[in-house]
Amino acid sequence: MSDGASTGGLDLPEAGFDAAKAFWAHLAAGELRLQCDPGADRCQFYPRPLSLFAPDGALEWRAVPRTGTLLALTTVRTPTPGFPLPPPYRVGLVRLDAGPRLFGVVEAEAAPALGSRVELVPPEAAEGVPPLRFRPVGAAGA
Amino acid sequence: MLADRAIAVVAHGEVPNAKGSGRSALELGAAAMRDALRRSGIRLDEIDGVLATTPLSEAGDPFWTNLLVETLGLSPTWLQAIDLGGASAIAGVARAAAAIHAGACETVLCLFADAPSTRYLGRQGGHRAEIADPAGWGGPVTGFGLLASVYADRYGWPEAALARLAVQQRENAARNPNACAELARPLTEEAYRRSRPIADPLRLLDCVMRCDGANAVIVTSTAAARRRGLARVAHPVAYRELTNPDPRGESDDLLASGFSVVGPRALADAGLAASDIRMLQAYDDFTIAVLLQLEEIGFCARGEAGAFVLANDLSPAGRLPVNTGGGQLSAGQCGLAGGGIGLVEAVRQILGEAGPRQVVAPRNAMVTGLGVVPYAGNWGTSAVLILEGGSP
Repeated sequence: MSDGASTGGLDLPEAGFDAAKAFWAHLAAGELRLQCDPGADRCQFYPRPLSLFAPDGALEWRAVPRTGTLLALTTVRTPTPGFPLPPPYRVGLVRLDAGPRLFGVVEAEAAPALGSRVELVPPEAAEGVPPLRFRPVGAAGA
Repeated sequence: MLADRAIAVVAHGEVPNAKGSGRSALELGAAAMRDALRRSGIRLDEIDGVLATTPLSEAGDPFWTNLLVETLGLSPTWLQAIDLGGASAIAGVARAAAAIHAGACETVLCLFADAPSTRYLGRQGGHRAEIADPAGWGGPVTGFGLLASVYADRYGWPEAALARLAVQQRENAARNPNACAELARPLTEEAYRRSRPIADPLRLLDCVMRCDGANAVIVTSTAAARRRGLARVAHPVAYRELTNPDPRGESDDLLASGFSVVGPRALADAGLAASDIRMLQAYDDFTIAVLLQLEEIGFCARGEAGAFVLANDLSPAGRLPVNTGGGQLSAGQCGLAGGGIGLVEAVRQILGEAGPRQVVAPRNAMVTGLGVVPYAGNWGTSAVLILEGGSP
């Protein structure tokens, strides 16, 4: 995923899986789109080569709300090779309102409580900015 | 398949764990195999089945098990690689038993060797490379930090129990000549509490240290063990595994793992209650993993593992000895040979060969395995093996 044309300049590693490329390309264009099986009316994440709800199910990229609920939160305190942020940084597991669980950086002054509402920050095509960031709902800049 | 005690683990072998040994998985594996052969009197040409994990230090070699048998001078009629991460060793015993039952072979060497602190070639694709890493994933410690945050939020962080476990496993490792030299020394609860945070609420001493090592068991039919005139063996009497228990990511209970399924099923297969288990060799990549297993398997109720650890003597002299050789936390995690640490210790204990840390009346042992960290869940494979001592 080193091709800046398809990533909008997001800082991403090389990817080999078409569905993952499509996810990042949509995100780089400012849209959170998830694979959705319209027959089941359900979304899935991470992107996969088939529907988890029916092996023959169709998949479409559906724009979904950026909001969700924080399920888990930790602070990484050791360097992560290849990741732009130096420690410490917070990462959380979020249950999107659209259904799937998604993992990303959590930007907040104080650690948000589990169960609190968060939303995905629009991606910035800037060096050193990770592509998936959440902030508490209502926080400045979110 | 196992309850009739037609299968027997008849030998164990192990080389001391070492950090940055400079040795290869082939060298370490050869030494572990030699140890198992010497102890049991089994000849190399009697081994007609081989099962092995694929080492992190050799990752990328698509023909590892062939290289292994060629190098060791083996000629198996059944050869199997296994890649269930930390569940591989006990899963290997079950697969060896199935192969023996199927007539594919009679005497299986299960060999687990890895040297990841000398050379690390592991690389994970799919969601790991393409989705998780770009989002800040720092490996299994991130996943367990997230799980630990859920436990702390729901029940409170059981720091005193985790400290007790860490200290006890160090004491056990100090009586285990195969434990990593860096770890086989006493630890105080105060030192545990002072260790630096790694992924909140996890501290350094909640986490394993990677090292090099190798271990092995030999599995055969009980009939063959009888022909050899062996006085004591370890029968695998129950084994259950479950991988990817929440395939559509529907559960919001991140603490619910496959162990809540496989633990009770394995106990029922063996006709045992959790309170009948004489010792537990629990997979311990992180201290909190041991507490989660105590709850999910049914040794205590959910949320009560901390109180259970504090209320019970988990030392080799206690009613439920846990990780009697120090576990991976205190003997070291030898990469994809790490799952064999608990298996080999259980066999050693049941055969009465554990020296200064020998459990009295070692009638049975539960060994668990936990394999592979998935995307946005707890772990991939949960596995439980129950071994019982017997005379073939």
